[in-house]
Amino acid sequence: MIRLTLLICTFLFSFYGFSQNKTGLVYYGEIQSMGAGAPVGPDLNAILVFDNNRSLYITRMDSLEGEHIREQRNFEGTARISRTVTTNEIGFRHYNDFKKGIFTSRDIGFSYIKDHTPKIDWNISSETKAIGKFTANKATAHFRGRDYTAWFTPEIPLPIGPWKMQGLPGLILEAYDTNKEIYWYFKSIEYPTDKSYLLKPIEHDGEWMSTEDFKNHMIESLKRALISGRMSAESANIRGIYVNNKTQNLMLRSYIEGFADDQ
Amino acid sequence: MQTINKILVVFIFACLGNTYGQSGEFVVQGIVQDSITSETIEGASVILKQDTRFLAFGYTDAKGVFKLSIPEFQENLVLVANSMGFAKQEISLLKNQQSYSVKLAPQVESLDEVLLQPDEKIVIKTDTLRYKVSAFTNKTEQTVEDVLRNIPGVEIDGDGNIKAQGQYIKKILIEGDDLADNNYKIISKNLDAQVLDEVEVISNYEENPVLKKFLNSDAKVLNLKLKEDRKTVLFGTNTAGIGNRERSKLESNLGLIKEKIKFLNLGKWNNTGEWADEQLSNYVSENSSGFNDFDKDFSIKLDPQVYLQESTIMLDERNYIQNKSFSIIF
Repeated sequence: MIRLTLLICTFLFSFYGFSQNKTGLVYYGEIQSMGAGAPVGPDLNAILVFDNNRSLYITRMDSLEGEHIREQRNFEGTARISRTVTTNEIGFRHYNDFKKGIFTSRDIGFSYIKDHTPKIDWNISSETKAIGKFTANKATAHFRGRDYTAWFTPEIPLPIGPWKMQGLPGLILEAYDTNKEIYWYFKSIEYPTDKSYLLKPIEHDGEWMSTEDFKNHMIESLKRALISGRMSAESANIRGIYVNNKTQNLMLRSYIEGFADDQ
Repeated sequence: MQTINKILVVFIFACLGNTYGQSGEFVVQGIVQDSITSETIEGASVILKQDTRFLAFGYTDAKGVFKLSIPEFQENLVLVANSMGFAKQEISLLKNQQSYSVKLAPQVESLDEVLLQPDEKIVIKTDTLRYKVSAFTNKTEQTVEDVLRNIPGVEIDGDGNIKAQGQYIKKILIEGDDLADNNYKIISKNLDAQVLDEVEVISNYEENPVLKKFLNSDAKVLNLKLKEDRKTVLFGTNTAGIGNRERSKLESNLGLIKEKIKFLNLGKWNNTGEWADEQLSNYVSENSSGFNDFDKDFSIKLDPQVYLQESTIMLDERNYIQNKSFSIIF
């Protein structure tokens, strides 16, 4: 009898706990068109799984696209741009434990980064627009080299959003930078979702980088790429013009975050 | 639990004494609780608003406590608290009260909103970029032009000329058919936004599929795809006016789109001295020329049908012209 009561109690308790912390799933589209001046780059699927304590953003994952992608695609913006579009099995992941304020990422070059959840100084305006049945408010902020506009809905009162866009009094449904070179747009939401198994921390056995390490790593890779690019151009007898550009500007042409070492 | 909460509230009131009286700064603090169990709610959002303006926001900590501050007290301040699984609560703030206990009522929340299917997106084919209109509208758009403004990469200048990816477009097609030729503003300014399903930006547009193989056109056109249930559309604007001394004015700009039939009809008649051909004067019919696949230079300009009476009196032309212009385009 005691056993039965205990069982019922446990069941009720777990049910209560479950009903208080449901998992939701948001589908986004992510268009990266760095350096193109318009959102004309590859449009990839992305998801954000969340509960009341944490969120996980995944993009460039094979299963999200329904196939493994590795191809050269041409896009036309202010200039004709050719880009290699790739996805992988695990994808790029950003796990935000916003209750504890810890942010982990599996990012470009399969770098594993662990840091505090970035604090973005959002400026909320009273401008609103409808995104589906949600009313979204506009917020703007400068974050790592780009000026972002985000549309969030206070109807889902969680400080989450795509990629590292977070920290507003509501879920970010849409976000983009000045020329929409990086552009996330809302597709659909399921709450609660039956895909709660997707919400798990990023698995990694080795060392974790800090954002500072990652920044240095990115700047180094960029400079290496510039040198090897120039070497191969010179060996093919192509003379370019040496543009004395700031690292940040060069970085912004190929990557979301404009890390800088020469300000 | 109840006693702890009481202690906490008392504690907050005690803290209040310190913050109150500081130069101008208005601090609001308090606790957010479940209205039934009285348990504190961690991670509830709290927003300090004045009408639609967001003045400050934050989330409650592990003890359900929040603290927001603004430079000074203002009228009509509202505190909005919300948490997943609870109903939103709004409280009007009073100048002499800075501590609030907010109770949220549990609410079964279920959201299922689909704007685009997860695998749908902006489709990019070799020469075509396809935008699902529903993803880029906020339902306040009236004409096609309003919708186009929202589409990434599309710009509209002051005269209504449309640029796609930084380049002026040549035409707007409807379901692949060219109704208005270069005078696409007839469509963009008149067609109802509600009927649009998709917008395609087609690069390297070439009317003649044979020529497409060896001509490298850099022309851009827009192709509008209509909603399945809105394939029959009658659109247009009509203005009619009548005044004293037999002055009257009639403008009709009418289009009909049906699966097999599409026509656009522009009519303008007035005797108020307005040029009737202005909407047609830049209308270059390229289809009649036979050289439509090269450039405008080969095309024949059809004069709009404007009837002018000969006159030797040097009057301002406004005073003597009676204007009619009419065109039907199939």
